[in-house]
Amino acid sequence: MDNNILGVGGLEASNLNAGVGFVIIPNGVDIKTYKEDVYRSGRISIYGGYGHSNFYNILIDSEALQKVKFPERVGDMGTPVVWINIPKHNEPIVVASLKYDEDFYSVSEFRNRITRGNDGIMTDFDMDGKNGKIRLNVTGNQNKSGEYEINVSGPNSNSTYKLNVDGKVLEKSSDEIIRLSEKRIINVATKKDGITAVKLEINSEDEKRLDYQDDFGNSIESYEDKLNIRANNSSKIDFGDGSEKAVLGNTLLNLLTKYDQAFEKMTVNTAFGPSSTRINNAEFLSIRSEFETILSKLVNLD
Amino acid sequence: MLDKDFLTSEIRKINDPFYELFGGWPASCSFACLRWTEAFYLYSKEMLPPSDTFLEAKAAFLTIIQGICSSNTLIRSATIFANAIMKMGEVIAPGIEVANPKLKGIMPPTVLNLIPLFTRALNGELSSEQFAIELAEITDVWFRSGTAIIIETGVIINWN
Repeated sequence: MDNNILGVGGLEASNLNAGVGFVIIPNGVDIKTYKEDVYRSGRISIYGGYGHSNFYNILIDSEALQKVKFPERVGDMGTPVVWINIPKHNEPIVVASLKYDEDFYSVSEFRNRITRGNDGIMTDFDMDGKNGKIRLNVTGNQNKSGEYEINVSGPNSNSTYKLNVDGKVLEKSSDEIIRLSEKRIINVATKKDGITAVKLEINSEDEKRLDYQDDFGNSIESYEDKLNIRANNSSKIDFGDGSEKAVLGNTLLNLLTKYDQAFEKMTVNTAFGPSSTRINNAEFLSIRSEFETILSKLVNLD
Repeated sequence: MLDKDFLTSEIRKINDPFYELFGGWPASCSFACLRWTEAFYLYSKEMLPPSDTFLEAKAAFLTIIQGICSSNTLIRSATIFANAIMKMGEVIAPGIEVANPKLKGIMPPTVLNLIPLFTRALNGELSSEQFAIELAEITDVWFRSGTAIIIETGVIINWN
């Protein structure tokens, strides 16, 4: 197994076991293709350091490979690396990378940081064990916007993403915040004893699209054929400042009809005896026939 | 003598519930007509020079004013009322000569128009009392424009 990985013949390492070299771009290669090959194969070319030649296509530790920076062109030097030579196989292996001069991020005791970037694009994972913070920074440039994506999946579509916070959760966006579910989104607020005080649910499969319920007995439910608002324990629903009471349409219609029917029979005393009933009764009856138009076709109360 | 205030009081007994002598609302239109007739009769029969046809004039007034009970417009009602008063004057006039052959009675010459008064009353511009006062005033002015001629001398005296 070792032989398959390390090769049989080995490379000249000047009989030294280790050294510090630099990442290089070999001559005659397409730089872009070369870099892709390095990450695909896990083999890299380095200048072996003082007293050494270049080592081409040698193995590199996967962790170190994540941290190296390539020079811009052939002849320049990139990230300094530590290599060791395994005597039996006589082939150097890069086992660590050292701090690159152009790295400007601060690293300190209790802190672990991984930064990768190019042409103004940067991804940075910063674990600060001294201050109890983890930051994940993603920055895009003029041509590519930053993106942070988490994918959780499984064969049975029952994967779970959990976020547990003993404190606040703050989401802030300079643009939209979009939450998309192919089934249901549930927001719940409980009291300290764990009993639900209010629940807001939106879903695409149940008969209710929107379902708001709270421990005051209030609810808002959206169905295909109606929107239902209830105030069971609250005893009233206010629109605006709630200074005027709403009118019950059917009750008003009945009262108006009774009122006009009584008015229709009304007479008054005059100096020429009791008056007749209203002379323009036909006009009143015409108006009475329109009473039902006061009933809303959209809103029902109580 | 003709007494405008007396007529005002008689009218208020019929139409003004706030009048201390108000006799109550008439129970029917026909009974109301009897009361109106009585009021104008009591007023007119005190006229000088006297006439021998006051009772006939009363009956004539009643006959005409009863037309109000089948009237359904203000203009028609006001016209009927004015016609009843004018008919009363028309019947009183010849009775003056009957009562006193030296005199010849001439009814008031103008046509009585009560439409503006009735319109203002129905529009709520007049109280019952104001209506009674104005109706009595209009009637009294009209009656006093009636005349009697002393046949021998041609002297004209007004009804009063």
